Amino acid sequence: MTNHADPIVVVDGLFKQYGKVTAVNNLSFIVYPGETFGLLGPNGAGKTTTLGIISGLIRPDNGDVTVGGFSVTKDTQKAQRLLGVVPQGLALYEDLTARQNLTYFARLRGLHQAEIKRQIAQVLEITGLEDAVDQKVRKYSGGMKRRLNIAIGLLGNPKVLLLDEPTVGIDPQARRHILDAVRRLADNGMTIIYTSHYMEEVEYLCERVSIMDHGLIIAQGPLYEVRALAGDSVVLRVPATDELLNDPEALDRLKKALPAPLEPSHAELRIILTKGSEQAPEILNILVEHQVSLNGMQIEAPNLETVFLSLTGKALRDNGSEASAS
Amino acid sequence: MILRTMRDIGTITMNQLKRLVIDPATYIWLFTLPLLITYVLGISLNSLFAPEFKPIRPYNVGLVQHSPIVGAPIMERLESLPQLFTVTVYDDEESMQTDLADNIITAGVVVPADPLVHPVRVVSTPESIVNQILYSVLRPVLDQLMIMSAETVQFTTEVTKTQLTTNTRSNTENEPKTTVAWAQADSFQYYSLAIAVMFAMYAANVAMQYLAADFTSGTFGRIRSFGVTRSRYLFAGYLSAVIMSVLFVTVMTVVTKVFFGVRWGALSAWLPFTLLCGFTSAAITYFILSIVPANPKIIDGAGTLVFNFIAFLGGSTAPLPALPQWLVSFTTWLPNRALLEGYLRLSSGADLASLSNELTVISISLVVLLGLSLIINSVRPKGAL
Repeated sequence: MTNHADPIVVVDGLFKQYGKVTAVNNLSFIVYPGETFGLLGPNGAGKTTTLGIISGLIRPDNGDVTVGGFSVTKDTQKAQRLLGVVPQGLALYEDLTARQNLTYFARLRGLHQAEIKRQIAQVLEITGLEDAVDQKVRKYSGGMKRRLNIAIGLLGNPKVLLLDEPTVGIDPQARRHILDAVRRLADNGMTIIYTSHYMEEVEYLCERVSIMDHGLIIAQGPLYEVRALAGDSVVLRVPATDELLNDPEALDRLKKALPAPLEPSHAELRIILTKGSEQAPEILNILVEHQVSLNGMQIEAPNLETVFLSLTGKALRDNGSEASAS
Repeated sequence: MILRTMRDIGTITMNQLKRLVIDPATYIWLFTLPLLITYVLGISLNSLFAPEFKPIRPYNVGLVQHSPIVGAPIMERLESLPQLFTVTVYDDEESMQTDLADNIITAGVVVPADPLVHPVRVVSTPESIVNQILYSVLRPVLDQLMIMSAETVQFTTEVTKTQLTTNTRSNTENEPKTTVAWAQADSFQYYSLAIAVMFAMYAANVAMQYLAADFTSGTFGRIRSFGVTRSRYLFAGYLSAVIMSVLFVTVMTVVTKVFFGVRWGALSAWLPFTLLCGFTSAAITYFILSIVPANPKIIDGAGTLVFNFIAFLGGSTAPLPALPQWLVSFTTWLPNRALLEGYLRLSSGADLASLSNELTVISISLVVLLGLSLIINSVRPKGAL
């Protein structure tokens, strides 16, 4: 996307350290009005810290962020008025109904009674929770709770919505609901900063993307440009048995034998063919020599995950883990 | 700015209270359980408070009498209660003090040569059971002598064993405060007040757990992203703890008054004292919140540990006069003990102005606890919050 408007969010040289751990290291990017910007990276990459700084909850050791021209370190409250925050955790009260939750947070937003009513109806419509608004949140499914979490972030008509891993821990159908809701918001012109370690979500929603690892941006730009960083690389996915995945020595032998980076993942091996698919026969021979079954293997076109793999030599997602603690 | 601050504090406080009120556990743990404990303790420990109470063995009491006019009726009175006292007569006070220090006798009575000038002194552990029994037994004898002589006969109790000072004080100033309340309390009376003081701390703690849950769930972060400052949020949490505590004592007051006939004193004194009780109870739990991680389970565990401990020392589980003297002397600074003693005195008809000792302890505790909490919270790493 080409955008000639002034950026609405400017992240400039952010640096944040916790003890000896550098969470964010000289991070800079800009987001234009109406854009959906993706922050992609594995757990611990520094995405949540970055959003924490943008939302004025974490003070950076260095650098600054401006939102709509207001510095989050100097004019925190003015900047916060332009932001809607959807934290990774379910920041809501399960012992209250959705309406009670929304009313409470709307009051803290400073909305007046009539406006509260109007906006609650609006955000319920966006998130599709109208029918369950008077149910206690405790009775909600995981996906409904996530949608309510987003609905609260939408109160006050923020100019910029920060979404921190909004689909963690929910089933694919609920995930689809949320992605569609976010897409609708983007289509209506809302600026969105979306963090995830699911590359397919970022690819589905975002026009521009930053890929982060260990607090650093390792790739940044429009989606097609970042994808191109993978060059000719493709990913060979080979189903793997638990026996092999749980045998570090066998995996180590395989890694040493292969002329390409290998990443064991959930129930499969991912091998980046940096020279393209013509490298496949050589690799397959080695796999057969190591008694790896090739049943169900497939070659994938380059995507953000391929980029991440080729740049860092590791997968975006932790092996078999959906836990998120970045 | 002020309006925004008040609006934020009001909104957060009301939300906390609403959540507490709709939680069925609140009614079980904060209202049913304390009343049940009061009832059980009231029934089972009634004999300890009964007028016919007698110790397992009679107390060994020493008597030094320099004035036979006063000494004789005292001796006669003590000997008339063999189930309570065994009397040993001493020629001089020094020998009696030696035996007292060696625990050969439990208390002593010194009748001076000129009782119209110097007071009759009971030398015993202040606020111990023997002290209080001696007080109740000798008081009428001395009153009778006072009427007969039409002069001021003074009565005093002195600290013994470790601190043998001799102060001369007037009758009214010198009445051992717990004795008065104790003498007038039955078990239901005592435990209704004692359990109320103890559970007022729990009530505040439950409110503080709700606050801590916001820290762990990320809700606090969201609230802060709406421009609510940390101090506003903590103040609202403290306020909801105060209200919860006051609400609890109010319910205890009404229910125990109706069902057990418990006296709580005049409303004009009870109301400000109960507010003070709420502020103090909330300050204790606020201090706990400031020194442990903001996690509801930790706040709950730490609160239970601290409250059980100070409730015991403060007389909420074992009656104050039943505790060893050194413990009783050591715990005068405890705010919950001052609260209990204050309520005991209010229930025996005292007004707020006569509670200067209790109010001093409570006020100092309040200032110290809140001051320390604020200091700790201001320097504490705020992490990702």
